[in-house]
Amino acid sequence: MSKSLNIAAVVGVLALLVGTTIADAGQRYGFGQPATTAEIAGWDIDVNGLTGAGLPPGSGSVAQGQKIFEAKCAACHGVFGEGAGRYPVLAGGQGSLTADRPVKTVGSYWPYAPTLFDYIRRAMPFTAPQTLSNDEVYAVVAYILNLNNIVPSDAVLDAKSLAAIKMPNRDGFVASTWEHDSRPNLHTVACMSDCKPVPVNVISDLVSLRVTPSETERGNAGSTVELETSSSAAPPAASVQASATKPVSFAQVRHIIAQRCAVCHAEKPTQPGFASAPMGVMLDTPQRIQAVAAQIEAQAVKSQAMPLGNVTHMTQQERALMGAWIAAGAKTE
Amino acid sequence: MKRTSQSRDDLNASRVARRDFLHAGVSLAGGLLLAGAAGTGQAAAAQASDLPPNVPTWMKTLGAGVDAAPYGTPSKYERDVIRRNVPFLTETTESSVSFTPLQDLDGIITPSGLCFVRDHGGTPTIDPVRHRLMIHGMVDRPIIYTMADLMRFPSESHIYFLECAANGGMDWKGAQMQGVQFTHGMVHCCEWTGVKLSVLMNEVGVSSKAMWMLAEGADAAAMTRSIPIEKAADDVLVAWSQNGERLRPENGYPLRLIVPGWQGNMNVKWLRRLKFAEDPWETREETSKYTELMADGKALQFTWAMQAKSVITHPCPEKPMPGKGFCEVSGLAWSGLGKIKRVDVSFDGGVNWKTATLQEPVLPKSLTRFRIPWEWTGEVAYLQSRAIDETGYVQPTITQLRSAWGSNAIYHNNAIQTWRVNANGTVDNVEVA
Repeated sequence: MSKSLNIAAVVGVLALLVGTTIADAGQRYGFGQPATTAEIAGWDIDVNGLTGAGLPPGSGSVAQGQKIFEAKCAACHGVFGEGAGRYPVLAGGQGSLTADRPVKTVGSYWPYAPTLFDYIRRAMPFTAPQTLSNDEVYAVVAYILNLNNIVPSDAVLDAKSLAAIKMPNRDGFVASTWEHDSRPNLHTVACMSDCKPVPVNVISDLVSLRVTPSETERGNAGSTVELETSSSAAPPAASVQASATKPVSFAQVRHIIAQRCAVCHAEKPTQPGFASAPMGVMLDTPQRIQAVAAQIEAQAVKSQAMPLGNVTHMTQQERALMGAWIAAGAKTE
Repeated sequence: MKRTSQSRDDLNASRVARRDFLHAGVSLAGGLLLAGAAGTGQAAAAQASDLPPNVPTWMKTLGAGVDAAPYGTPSKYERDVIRRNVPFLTETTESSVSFTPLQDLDGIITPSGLCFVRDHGGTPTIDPVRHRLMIHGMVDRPIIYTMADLMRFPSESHIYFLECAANGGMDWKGAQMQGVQFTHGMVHCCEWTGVKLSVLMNEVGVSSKAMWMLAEGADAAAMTRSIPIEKAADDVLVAWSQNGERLRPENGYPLRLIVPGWQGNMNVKWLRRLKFAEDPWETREETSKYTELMADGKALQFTWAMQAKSVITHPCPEKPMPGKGFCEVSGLAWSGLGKIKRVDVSFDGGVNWKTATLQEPVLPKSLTRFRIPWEWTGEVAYLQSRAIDETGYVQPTITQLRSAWGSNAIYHNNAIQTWRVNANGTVDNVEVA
């Protein structure tokens, strides 16, 4: 945005717009009540991503952030920010922006660090927004930046140090302005006849895809879109297979099981209605998980009878990952 | 636009064709795969005793009293006309989207209960008596307004479309969704009533140094977007009504911003705060989201206006061909930069085009209904529509769009849609080169 905007023009428009009722821009209707400093302070939570303006006093360390993150964030975003199910991936992906399937994370995509503070304070945790203290937000921000190798493990962030961080993709954006639209000009013309050879060539046909909700109850075979909540789209079935053939770490499997299975299958189930582990199957230690790997394969990978009614929303990708881990010997190292 | 594209001969041909179709209809009906079949299902279910020469049962008993439905709802026979969502798209339904059933709608106004919904933290339940709008920042007089305060200001009503920037996002890499509800249903068009933002800007006395405005919602996401002062002072509305009644909760009750023609995300729902400053805020919703990643790894930011776009809503995958012969092809066109000037329709995948008739009113930044008669011979056909707006911008093909944007942009897919009409009358979403 040009800082040399013609203010006179804006003021002129204002005067014109209200001119029919109020003779000049100096006059007002006068409705509403003056906002007091205290009232404004309670609501004025925005932080400017570019300048850091609005960052409050306080501080937090990576170590403090890890504890908060594991307790309040990891259920959706994964202990290492890898994301669970369709929840956003927060870490990794650097260098992937030109890939066929870019992984857009805080580290690979976000241009400004203070934006992270602004967003977490106003909107996270997802089910309990605006419950973290400013110190806690600084700590969680520090941990997420550390997961992305942007700050060291001993970092302590406050308003000044957070605003000073230059994000890896800081220069990755081309902004439009009111005067200039940065979108590529396609120079399209409206040809009316014999515009291309006949017959036309069909380059994409979804007949075999069957992911539309009217066609399948729970389509999960292939999405190419990313909505705001899902930072990576569901891959087509083919790439689920491909990713499943890569080595799967036990940490990944344990994380899936912790979220999707151990709410019931634990010594002390957290799922309402379960006083003890169903069938005595407990999946809360590496040894116990390894011991029932064959059952996991039968119930959660093959027949998909588990989780019951998929109450914990286990995804096809997660099932494939567990299948790959079992196929590779169900190792806990 | 007048019906200049349709000569008297065309009209006569249509009449003849219509007659032929009526004759042919009976024999064709059995052979066609009629998937859309609300009509067929009802016909099958109808009791012969309700059909001529008999008098239908509903004429032989009294109907419901006028107090039976103090707030009316659609006929029970319209129960399939609903918003739908795509479960695999998001992990939760609170931060997700439901789609407008464009295939079932006529004209340009979207009924309030069918307007697509895009929430980031669920739909809040807000008591309007306890709702406040705070305006502050670089202003002479920070002010807090109640709803009653706001409704004392002079108001205006305007018909505007509102489109999510991600509309069509699922089809960026190829045809994926089998239905216009899912390919194009993140758009709606309502009559909005409220006070012009410029009036409120005058009330608080916005500083001449303020270049940007932050709009914040009162939802669990406290969603925020930065809006340039030029747009704020131009045509933005602070609205409390939608199609003549108060906003629906899922569309922002009791107060929302209407930013005509721009990304739906900027039309902040449940509006609670406006703040003026020198710089854009670079919020999460305008950096990590609602930006378009190009093939070279750079991303476009602040791509505010929704560029010209159109789609045929009849026929479409949900509304297959009823039979050979006459078919009125109809659809919607819109542009965030002004009025729709022209819509062309192709029946051969973009080789040859004919100009469609535009239904009045043709309004700026509104949906515009277009129609064109078609004689379907029963051959496979590739239907497309192409919008041209008053700036001269011509809606691109998906190939043109991808060549410039790559295929990871997610947002702003305004490509020409192709529907393949198969020989059996079904309709598929395909892409043609």
